[in-house]
Amino acid sequence: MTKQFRVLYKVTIIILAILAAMLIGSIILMTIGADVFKTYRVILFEPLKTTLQLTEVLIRAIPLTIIALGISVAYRSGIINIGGEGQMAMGILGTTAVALAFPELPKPILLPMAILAGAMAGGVWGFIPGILRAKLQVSELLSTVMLNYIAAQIYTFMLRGPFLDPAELTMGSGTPQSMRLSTGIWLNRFLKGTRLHTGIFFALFLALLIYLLLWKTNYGYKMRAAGASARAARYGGISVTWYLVIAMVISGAFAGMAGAIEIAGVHRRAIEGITGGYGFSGIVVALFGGLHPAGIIPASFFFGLLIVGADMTQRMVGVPANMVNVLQGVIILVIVATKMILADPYLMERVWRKYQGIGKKHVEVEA
Amino acid sequence: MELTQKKITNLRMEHITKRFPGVLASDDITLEISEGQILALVGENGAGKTTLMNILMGLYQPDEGRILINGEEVHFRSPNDAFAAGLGMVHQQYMLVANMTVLENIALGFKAAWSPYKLDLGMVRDRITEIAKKYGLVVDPDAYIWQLSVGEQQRVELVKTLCLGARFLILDEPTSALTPQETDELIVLLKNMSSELSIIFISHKLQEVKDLSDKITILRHGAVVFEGNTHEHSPSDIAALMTGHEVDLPLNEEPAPEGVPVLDIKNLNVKSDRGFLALKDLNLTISSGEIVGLAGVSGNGQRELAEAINGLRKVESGEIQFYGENIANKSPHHIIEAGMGYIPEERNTEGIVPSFSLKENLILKDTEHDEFSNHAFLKNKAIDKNAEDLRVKFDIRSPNISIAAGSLSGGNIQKVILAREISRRPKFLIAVYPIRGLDLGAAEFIHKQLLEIRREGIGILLISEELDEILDLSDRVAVIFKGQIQKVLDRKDANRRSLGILMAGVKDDQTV
Amino acid sequence: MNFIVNILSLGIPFSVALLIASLGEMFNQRAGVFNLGCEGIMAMGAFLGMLVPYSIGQGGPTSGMYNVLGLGLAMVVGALLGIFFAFVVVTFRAPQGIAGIGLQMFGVGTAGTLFRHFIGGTQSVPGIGNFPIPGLSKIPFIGPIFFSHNVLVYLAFLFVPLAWYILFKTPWGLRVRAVGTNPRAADSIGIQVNKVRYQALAVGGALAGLAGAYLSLAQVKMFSDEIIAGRGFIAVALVYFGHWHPVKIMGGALLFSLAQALQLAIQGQGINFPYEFAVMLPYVLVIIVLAFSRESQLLGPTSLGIPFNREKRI
Repeated sequence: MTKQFRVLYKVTIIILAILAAMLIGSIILMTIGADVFKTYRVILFEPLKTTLQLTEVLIRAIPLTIIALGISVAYRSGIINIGGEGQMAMGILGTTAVALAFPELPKPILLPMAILAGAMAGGVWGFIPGILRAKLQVSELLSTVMLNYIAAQIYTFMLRGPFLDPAELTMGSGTPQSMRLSTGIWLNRFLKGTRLHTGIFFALFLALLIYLLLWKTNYGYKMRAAGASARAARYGGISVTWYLVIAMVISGAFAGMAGAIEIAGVHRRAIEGITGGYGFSGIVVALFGGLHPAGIIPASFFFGLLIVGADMTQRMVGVPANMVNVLQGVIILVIVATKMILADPYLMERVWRKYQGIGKKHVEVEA
Repeated sequence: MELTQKKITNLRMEHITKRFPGVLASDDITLEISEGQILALVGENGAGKTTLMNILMGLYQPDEGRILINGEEVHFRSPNDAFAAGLGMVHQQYMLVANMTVLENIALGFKAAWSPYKLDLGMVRDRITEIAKKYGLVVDPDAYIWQLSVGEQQRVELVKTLCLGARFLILDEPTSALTPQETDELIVLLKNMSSELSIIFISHKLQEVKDLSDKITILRHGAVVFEGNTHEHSPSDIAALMTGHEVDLPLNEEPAPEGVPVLDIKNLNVKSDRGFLALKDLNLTISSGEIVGLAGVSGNGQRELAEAINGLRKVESGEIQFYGENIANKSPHHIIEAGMGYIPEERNTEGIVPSFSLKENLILKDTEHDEFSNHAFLKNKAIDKNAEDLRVKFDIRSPNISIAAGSLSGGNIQKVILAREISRRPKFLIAVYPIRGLDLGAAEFIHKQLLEIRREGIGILLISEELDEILDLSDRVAVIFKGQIQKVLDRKDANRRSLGILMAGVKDDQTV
Repeated sequence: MNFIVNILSLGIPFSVALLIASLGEMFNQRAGVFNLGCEGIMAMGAFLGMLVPYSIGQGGPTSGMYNVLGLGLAMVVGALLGIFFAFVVVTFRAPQGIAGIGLQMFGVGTAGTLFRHFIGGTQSVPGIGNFPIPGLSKIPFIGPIFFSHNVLVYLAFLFVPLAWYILFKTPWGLRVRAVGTNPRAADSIGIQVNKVRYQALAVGGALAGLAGAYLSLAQVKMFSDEIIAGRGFIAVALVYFGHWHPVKIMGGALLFSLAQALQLAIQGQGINFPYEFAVMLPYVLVIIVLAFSRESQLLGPTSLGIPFNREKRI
């Protein structure tokens, strides 16, 4: 098999995969009678046209990056974290609690404390499925989903009860949200006229941290070994279950931090619907980014683009914003299938022989 | 069953070629067998015997070549076609569904009993009774497969194949999991059956080949290297042809060492995956500088013993004294740090992390040590140097040290494991089936290395099914049967016969 | 006494969506594939089931027929989604857990997108009414509990013995169990492993679609984005809990729905208990149940989650 053929084969499959994903999306768009090309154009290019829109894309990319980093740590360690949504909600509660409890503290103390509280709350929410899987073999796929629903209820309960904005009580409008948090936890918005906040640097810093952890330290080595082959890792003296739990705690803590950054940078109070599917999108971003920080950063920009773009399709071409979920689902399915196709040497060999056969025929015809 | 009842008077495979990625599994193979004959298909592991038979059964499609029955070309697109033509195969790993009964397992292939809404189990039961009578094969149709012993499962396989109308039997290493006694019974049975059936029988045990077959075909590296009549050739001729040259693996010819006991196992009880006791009050002592071979038919507790010593399986009761410390139920990490080296049975999935690079696999057990890490940060230069050194020293054939270990050949993977285990300077080594499935060159290299570290005073527990390997290397031989050590023999008292009797579960010197 | 009758007569129809979906998932898992996308297929089923009576038969005299059409459409599309999933995890052998999440997002997203376009807002349908069985429904206690429900409730419970019969007494059931436990054995004996897995996923998908349509047509009588509310995932959990056996699965489905009915009844009694904690109860219950139901290896599909590859040499 020539090297040239290998490259050609891989590129062809990736192009086919992209086409397949777009085709499935198109079927849904055609069902609702939308203009397929215009829709894709709006989703992919419209948000890039103004600075304001572009910063909105970046704002979406911040929590996506942080959550996806956490999910990739778990995934690489052999545990799939679908609980980002719940962990993020718990993180927001942790941050809010600290911000409400100590409104007077100066920023250099309060902000780190609040983010840490968010990380801890998310970490606890990641620890539960981790320990359940390690000790009782409970499938994390199911337990994390259930914990999402549980966290959503706790979140609503807190916003309607203990954290409810006193102003809502007196005004009686009944919107379940917290009061505006102390400025001590506000992240600076450094670009005038936009909401883009310093959380973006924090996200990049975390990406570097994860890169170092996974590829440069022996902890990362052990986590990746546990995920790549639990049996070999156990044989090598690595406590697979311990690293599984650690990975889930890190994963949860990252989702929690994403929540903390989101309220500190964007909303500045806890409101309903704040997690907005970031936990699920984070899975897609992690996979799309090849479970590596260097891939996750551009991937989260791309999915931030999809989210903002899908919001705009509603207005511009009448396509509901739910379309972004359709695309995310399709992208997961296509990625996992494509990975398997690319990793199948038997298929490649078969195609190679066909390809050679065609080559031979050409030669014969020419002769 | 609606099958052609026509006899198979002649079966011929012509110019069969089959490629797998990177491997030529069958290389222009031609073979022929006539009615009432028993053909032995012989060759080392990986010689392509099973692949060839899977092609005959329609499980694989050949890339080139054809199959003829009674002179007519046939095309088997699936096993169904092969069954319809009267072929049946008993695979080496029994093809039975553990959570179904014997009856259901046979019904699975018995299409005459199928109607869309109902399964006619009565019809299947009648058929089983008929076959059982005809061949004297007794099975309980209502037993679940998981309740049966290995020997019983094999009988079920035979009954199944015959119930489905086979008039031509293919047996893939039928004796590999049987005791010598069960093997003898099987050989008598097959001899009787051969009056009505043709049989192809895959083996690498030369004695059986001599006892049973009329004709012999030897495969090496996917190609036929020899064909002939069995009675014209001695086992040593056959062995030489099988391996390509006279078998001359290194021998342990040194005097018995005078070491001190370092691994002392007392009354060890360990459960198997299925929850019954796989080791029952097992006792065994091994000294420094000696190789103790553990002989036995696989499935008698060898795996459980190796895993228990290495902390990978829970010890129910008993002690494992290792250099004066009881390591029973200690963590694998603790035991590794105590100086235990381990070459596991499953080299591809347990001994290495397949997706990790060669150099990463060489530090699997040492990521915490100062040699390779500095305050948790890995020392890349030291890791690279270590890998380059070991690659040369252990003759690991790979394009570079960054290639995924799983992409190497079996022999090279085993060298990676060996390199890691030996270079860590263990105080003791457990080697499980260290040369299974390897080519002779790699096997020789590995045996030399084992003898080398023995000379350095390291004790070795060698677990193997190959009596030759055990007899070549061991200072003492322990025989395991049903989770207990039957007897420990000195090298001078151990021979194929004495070990075979012990492996069958006969203790002391009772006559068989 | 009335209180208990209330809970039981409420809980039994609640169990139907879970029961149907988990029986479908049972066939998937018995064949060796676990389909976490069940939630997504249910969402599609819920939307499509309602779409037909809403758009063509609104309240008309023949709405019963449109309901049947809606259920049928939900099953057909459910089966197609099951086949699509099979394409990804059986043909391409993609890891089933993460692929299932993809299918779930795809299904929920598509249902939401189409719903906004074709229906929008909170529209309700007359749906499937109750059909008290003449005579039997008049029996005190027993009548209201067992014989005063809509037709689908009776059918769903009749399906339990039928599923048992299919799984254990028909050649197809035999094949399904074989390919989920030892696909190599099934293959060696001439059974097309992947074909059986496709069939099982189609059946499972059709049942998940039906379960979704039951929610929108018979239980809630409208569609919303949150209509499934994790029932698809709970259905998957119930299959583990029920050890892949239809009767035990039915027990699990009843346990959950009775807990839910109890919670509603307690709310109805005006006991002061935070609503949110009552709602989260079933999800907590799932985790507890999963923690205490270890898989029994000998009886279950031991090749669950492992793609079949004949040429992969060991």
